[in-house]
Amino acid sequence: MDKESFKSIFDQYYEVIRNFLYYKLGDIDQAEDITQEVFIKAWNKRDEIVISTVKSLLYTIASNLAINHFQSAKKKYEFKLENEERPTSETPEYQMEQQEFAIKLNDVLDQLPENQRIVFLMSRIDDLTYPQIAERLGIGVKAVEKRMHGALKFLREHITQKI
Amino acid sequence: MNKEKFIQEWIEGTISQERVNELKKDPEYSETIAELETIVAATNRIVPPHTKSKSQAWDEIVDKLEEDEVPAPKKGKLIKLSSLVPIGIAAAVTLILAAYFLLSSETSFKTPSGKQMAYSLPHGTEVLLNAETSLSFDTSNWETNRVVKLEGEAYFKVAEGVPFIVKTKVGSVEVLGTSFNVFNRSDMLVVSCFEGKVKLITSRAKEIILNANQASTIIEGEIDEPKEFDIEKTATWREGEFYYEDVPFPLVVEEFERQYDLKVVYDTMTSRPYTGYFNNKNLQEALKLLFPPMSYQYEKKGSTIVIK
Repeated sequence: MDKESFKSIFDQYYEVIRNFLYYKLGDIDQAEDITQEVFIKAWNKRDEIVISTVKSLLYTIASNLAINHFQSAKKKYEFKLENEERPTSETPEYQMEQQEFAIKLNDVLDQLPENQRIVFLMSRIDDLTYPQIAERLGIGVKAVEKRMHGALKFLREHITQKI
Repeated sequence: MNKEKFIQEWIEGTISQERVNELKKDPEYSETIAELETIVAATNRIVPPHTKSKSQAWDEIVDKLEEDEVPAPKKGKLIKLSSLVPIGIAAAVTLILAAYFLLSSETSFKTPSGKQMAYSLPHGTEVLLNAETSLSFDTSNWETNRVVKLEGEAYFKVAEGVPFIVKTKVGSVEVLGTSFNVFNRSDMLVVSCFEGKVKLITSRAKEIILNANQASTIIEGEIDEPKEFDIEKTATWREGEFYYEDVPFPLVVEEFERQYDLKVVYDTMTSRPYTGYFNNKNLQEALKLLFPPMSYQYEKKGSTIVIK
């Protein structure tokens, strides 16, 4: 594989791999560092890369590298909510509410079991379907459904009544 | 539609907003929808942080790669974790690893027809699974007990360590660090050793050692003498290419079905041996290379190939 085709793999998967590691680790600096390592490792294996399996390969390398890193002491989610396009989103009250909600959401996501958090966020943020998530994580679709179900249950219990 | 299924499809985004609005009126659904709407709405707008752009990240990788561009030895060398970190940290890492593997001790991978998948097993061993293959293993004692169960075909690249064992219904394969291919479909097992040494053990406890570039077959419990193989034409399924020399034609057809996720239908199937080649990227070409040489005519009907 030459640099050009590798670059296109990078362009396609950089963000989702970085996100995946962030979901796992909760530390963006660490997630970005490991993402870099993932692609360097993939580059070193470029002769063995099969395009049809490169996705699951990248996720597998990412998982394995994440295991070898210490859980960062900084683990704290910093997801933000994009502004809605509506007039009230400009008011200070609304901004405040949104910020409070984001803090709550980050807090609940942190308490969510890792397996469930990863599947939930891959679905919500990376817009992946269950079969796509299953393929990337090397698990069955049933397992994805189960984790999603657990995540939603947890979120419903911890978020809904508090706002 | 049951409620769980509805929630699932809604979250996955495979259900229309109209349908959601419709169901909102249904008292059975209204409460659930109201509860979930907050979560759905919020997480529609949720964005993860980043400290650098994609192009910055790419530039950094390019810099790193150029730094490392000292001609490296072709074969990757495993670096033991313990040689990189002080002993106390190594122990902590081991604990974290142990905890991880205890939580997820039984793992299995399965590939469908028409797909191949690559996986990394713990501690640097890699495996590529051909279509319709399942692999399962228990990682809880991985450091002292590396055993995987295989049905189908896989290529392994095993990192050094304690013996690595591949169990199939017909027999098992035992290796230290090496690369090898295992083909097990029904009662046939073919093992091809690419690097290092491989020990092949039948279910009747007969043993044979394969050196690099040797292969052996077990059929009906009988084990063949090791034979040298052509490295250019063995286990090339990894590149989507399939070479055959005097192989019973039904076995070739089965591989074709697995690769294209198609069914071949026939009245009588010859068991004459086939010598030839096909790949999994060009169906028309594959059909031409497989059937006319065996004096069959073929016709594609949906997901079946009818041969006469």
